[in-house]
Amino acid sequence: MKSISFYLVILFALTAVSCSKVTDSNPDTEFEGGDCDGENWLIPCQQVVDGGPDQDGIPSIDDPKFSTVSEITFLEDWELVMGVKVGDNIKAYPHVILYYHEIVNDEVDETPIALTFCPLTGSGIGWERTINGEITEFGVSGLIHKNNLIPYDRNTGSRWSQMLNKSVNGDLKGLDISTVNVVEMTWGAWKEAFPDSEVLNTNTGFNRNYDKYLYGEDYPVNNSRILFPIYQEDERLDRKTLVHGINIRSVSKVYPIALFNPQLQVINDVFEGEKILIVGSSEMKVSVSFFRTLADGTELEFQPVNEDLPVIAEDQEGNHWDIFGEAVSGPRKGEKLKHTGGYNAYWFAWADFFNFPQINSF
Amino acid sequence: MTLNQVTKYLLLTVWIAVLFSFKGTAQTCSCAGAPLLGAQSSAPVFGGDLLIGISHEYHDISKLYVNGDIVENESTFRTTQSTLMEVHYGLSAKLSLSGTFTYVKKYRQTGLHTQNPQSLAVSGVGDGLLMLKYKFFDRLKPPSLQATIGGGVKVPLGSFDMRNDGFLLNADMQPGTGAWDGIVWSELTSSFDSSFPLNLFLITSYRFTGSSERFGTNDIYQFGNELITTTGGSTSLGEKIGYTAVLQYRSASSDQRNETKQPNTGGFWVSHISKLSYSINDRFSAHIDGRIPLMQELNGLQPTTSYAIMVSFFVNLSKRLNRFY
Repeated sequence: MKSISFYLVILFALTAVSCSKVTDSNPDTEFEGGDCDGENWLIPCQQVVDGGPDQDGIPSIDDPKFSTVSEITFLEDWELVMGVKVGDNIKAYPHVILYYHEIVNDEVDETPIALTFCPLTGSGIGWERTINGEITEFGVSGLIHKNNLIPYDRNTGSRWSQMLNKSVNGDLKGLDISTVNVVEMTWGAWKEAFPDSEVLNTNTGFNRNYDKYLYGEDYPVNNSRILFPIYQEDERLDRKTLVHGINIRSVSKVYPIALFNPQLQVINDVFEGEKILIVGSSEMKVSVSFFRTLADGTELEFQPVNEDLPVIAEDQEGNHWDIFGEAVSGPRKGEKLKHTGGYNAYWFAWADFFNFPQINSF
Repeated sequence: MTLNQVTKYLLLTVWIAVLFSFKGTAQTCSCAGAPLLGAQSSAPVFGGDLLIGISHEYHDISKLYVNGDIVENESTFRTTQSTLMEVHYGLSAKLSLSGTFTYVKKYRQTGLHTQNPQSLAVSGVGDGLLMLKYKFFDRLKPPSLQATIGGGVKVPLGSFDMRNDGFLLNADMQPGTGAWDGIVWSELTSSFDSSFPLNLFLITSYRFTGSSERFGTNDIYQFGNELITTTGGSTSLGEKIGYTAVLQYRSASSDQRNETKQPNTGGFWVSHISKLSYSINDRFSAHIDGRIPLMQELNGLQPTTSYAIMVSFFVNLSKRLNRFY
């Protein structure tokens, strides 16, 4: 009988003693653990972690369906949407859907774009999908860098940093992505501003409970709820303070959205020698930024325009500008302000990515 | 009251106090782990008995739930296969020692809705379990009644820092948890006389989890505590075949990172387990059981059990022989 137990123990030991290993579907990456190769990444790959669901485990929306504003019933006025305007086509993408998908591959006015949204860093950025003359789609790689989404492009498999707007790994490593101006605001304000726009609906092709936020209702406000390490903490603001940040020549400045007036407030700012227009409203939870210097050298000074959405500002020439930076009336009607590339994100992420950002004094 | 009785009741009191001092919350990721506690054999092993078992479980974790509602999972497929080796040895008529060792293989496929699905397989030695059990009540006269309590530790034998492409894998894809856990356990069994061949049992275990450093020093990850209550009955279906029907309740608290709850972890599950046992002879038995979920209420969006199948083979090396299904 002892021999039987001996063989049983040996049998199990043989099964177990084969050392731990990880294999994936790419045969040339079969290995037993090990460190990442820093040369292949532009960012410190030690800071890149597996977010859990793996590549495309969080499914991007690749065939988005839209409804009219009046048809949307699943959104409350306080909830946030991200909006884009390309040509005359205006679309909104609700956060509550983006929480489950993080990327929408869409075409707006025949321009291929991707709406990228990272629920963990609160950052929403629009990207053009035409890269080196080829149209691509973006998917969720399943990797996380400093809590932030790392998309991958499906043509080359290159991985991109959302908040850096740059490919950080793969064939396209080092390439900057062209961004699309995205406006983030409450659904209540959006309805008022763009009642004729199209809105991404819940017919996403995936069965999800879009009534609930994936990371809990309190994730956007709970400063303790951080899922992955912060490498560069900055306690000048609470972690989950939503800020509109801009980067000019590697110098950053942020505008905490809660510190704007409830009504639209205009800041004619000068930052790193550039004249910048910042418009924000704490009530509408919106902030946008544009360069105030036009191509012809004209420097504009702005004043806020309230109660006339989507118009947000008027300049000294009498032009009225909408929230996407387009002159909708006045002598410069049809002209556009140049977008700064700024976007909204939680303060902890902005401070983790960019070195000691300036904070606007209101 | 004799000294022996005083000791017995003192032990019981301490055990109950320990059990109820921890509120029932548990470990979501353990649904993707080796079934350490839930799979423990309930065979009586005392007084020089030696029982050795090898089990293999195939656990399909492809269902996707939001809270209590199932949602269609178009994008992922996920399984965990666990091989367990149990050794139970009776130190005395009332005291026994159990050890469980595991080998775990986790597999996930994602992007099934795309043209380029990805797969990842992780395998390695899983965590182990060491338990001491004390039978404090034993009435042999039908209907018999036995009560046993136990305690032990889950030993972090499994790797918790495995990487893919150099990147630290998520906690629920690791073979181990990296933490020492404390365990309290109890079992109540009763059987009737030979004219009514039915054994009833109630097994309750509670695991209060330890923590481990996941992303580096001072970055503490803790799986949620876990409560498992299993009740059911077994009966003979002839000379060599036994059938066991089980209802299992399991609850897990949310995982925590740096004492902050992690979203989409924790919840409770109710499952049914049916088990067929076959006594090959007085020493060998084979078992197969299937587990299906009856209901679950999960925190947020989580993959969870579609079904699980376990095949077991036990050998009884005792001097005296008991049928042990």
